[in-house]
Amino acid sequence: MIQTEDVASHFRTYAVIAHLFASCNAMPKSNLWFIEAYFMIFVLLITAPVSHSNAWHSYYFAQSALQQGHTIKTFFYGNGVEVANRLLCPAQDALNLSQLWQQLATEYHLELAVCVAAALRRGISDAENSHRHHLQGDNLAQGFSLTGLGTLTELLLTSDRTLSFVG
Amino acid sequence: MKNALFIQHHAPYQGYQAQETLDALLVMAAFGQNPSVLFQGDGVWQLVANQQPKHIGRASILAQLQALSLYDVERVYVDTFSLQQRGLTLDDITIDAQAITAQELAHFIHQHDMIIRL
Repeated sequence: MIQTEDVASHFRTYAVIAHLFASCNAMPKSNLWFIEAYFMIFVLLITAPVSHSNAWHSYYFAQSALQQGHTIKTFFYGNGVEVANRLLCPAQDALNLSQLWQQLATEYHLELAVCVAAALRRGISDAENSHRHHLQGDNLAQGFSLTGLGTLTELLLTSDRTLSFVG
Repeated sequence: MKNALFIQHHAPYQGYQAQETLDALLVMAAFGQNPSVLFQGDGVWQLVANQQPKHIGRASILAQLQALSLYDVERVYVDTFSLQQRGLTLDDITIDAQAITAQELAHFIHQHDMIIRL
């Protein structure tokens, strides 16, 4: 059972980490440097599966950074895609990471990008891809979207900081 | 343009990490970003000849690596200390790669803006 206290202490830790990452931005680039220097675009490259603590670290980092006004863009790749499976059903006394991401996405209008190739080879598909590949049924969780690796490249090229949560 | 370095540190067929790192590298190269790739740790096994992945239903990663220059990936490096630790030499690897010694490694990595190490 995860206690509220643990979550609160998590939150404090991640708030500090997000602040440290943002404040190490070196040179002002424009007249708006006092805004740009603080609010950053973080790209989170998440390859840790739900069973790995790094998958949770990525969520708590995103939550803290968003609460501080930073921009978060996520890309689920490798075993990280399994969080996008809507049939995930953890035990009653455990948290559902998939639902937590969905709530965060709704609140902050996040795009939860998932690599389509990585998802399909792990048995995660949306209606469109199931139709294209003649698969029975689909299981992509709401709020997540399947996309190509071109999206990852675009995200990496437009980020101020890229953080990998590997597992 | 960001100077990206992809570090291949997984054995070729242990999970999908090696293939997926390669895929991400190739797409970034297709975007004209001129990324670098470093083979390190068990990643150097990806470069060794006589791989027979068909037996476990996989495609050869080496065949794709040998075509890296066709995909505009010109900056290919291998960590010589990782080779040494595994009883391999530069003669055992089957693609053109520039050797990076243990002494050069930290400086080499520091030259890049972004490290992708899955």
